[in-house]
Amino acid sequence: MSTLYVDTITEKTAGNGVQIPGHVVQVQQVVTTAGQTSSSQTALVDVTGATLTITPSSASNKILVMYDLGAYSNNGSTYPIPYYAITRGTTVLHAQSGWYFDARSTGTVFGQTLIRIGMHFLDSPSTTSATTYKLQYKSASGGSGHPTLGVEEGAVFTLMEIAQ
Amino acid sequence: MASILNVNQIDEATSGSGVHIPGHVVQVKHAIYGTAVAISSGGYVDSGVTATITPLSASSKILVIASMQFRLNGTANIDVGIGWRIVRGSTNVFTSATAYRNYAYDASDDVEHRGSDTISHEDSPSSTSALTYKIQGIKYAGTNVDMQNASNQSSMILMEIAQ
Repeated sequence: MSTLYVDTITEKTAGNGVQIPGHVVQVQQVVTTAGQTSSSQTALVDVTGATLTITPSSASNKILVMYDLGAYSNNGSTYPIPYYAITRGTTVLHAQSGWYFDARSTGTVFGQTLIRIGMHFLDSPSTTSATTYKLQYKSASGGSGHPTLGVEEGAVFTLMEIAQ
Repeated sequence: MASILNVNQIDEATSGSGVHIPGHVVQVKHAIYGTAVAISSGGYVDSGVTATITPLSASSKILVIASMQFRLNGTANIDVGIGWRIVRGSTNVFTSATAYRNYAYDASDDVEHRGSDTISHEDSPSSTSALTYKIQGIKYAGTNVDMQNASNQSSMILMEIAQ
């Protein structure tokens, strides 16, 4: 086994980073605190502030996407049909939808529901160009309507570039 | 005076040993699972969320982070809840304090709640063998308790942290 003693390791070429297979080479995170809701939201809308742009230092690297957010619905007399998505550009990488969260009592939906939800996704963008990831939501089709949905108590959105 | 190494890439000197820098994440594994699993018994049930990692060093720690989707359904005046366990091989490395870590109850009406829960644990496996981690759920009373309800997904990441 060989051991190298050094205090700091820095990139030799500006913007290249230090590539060590398996290691995290950069992290981006944004924390939002604002609430955001909309009714009859049948098209994807950005979670305000939950947008990150990362420039992978190697096309072979992977991006670990992690989030948690306060999923909120104000149901009125209808069931929530939530759809929370991780998107890269215009591509939906991952979505939780349908009966993902709700709170009911003998078929009667609760007036308001706020549940913390989270997910992890490992992406292979195969690029060294600036790449934008977003959290988005909408009220999915089907069910008994499109009640007010959105995010309350903010979101934590994190990207980690993993060298390969 | 601090020593500084300027370099673009560092590779392992010995195949399969990786490059150990204390405190660094040296490898990441990810699993995602979206098939519904009902908890029908009173014991722990495999969620289907499982991932395998082979530590590069026996001194490394493994950070386990899982987000588990669930449904709780109970009849009136009956508690309903779900708790979790993280299992490495056949060893329990984390058990939630109660089986009602997530809970619902109504004195007069049936209840149905859906959501997700994030659990995490730092494990010290002291091994360089392939290690399989999985998440198990246990229900607390109630009628119907499911994981990955309606094909929604649960996920887990394993991070090896060099020491």
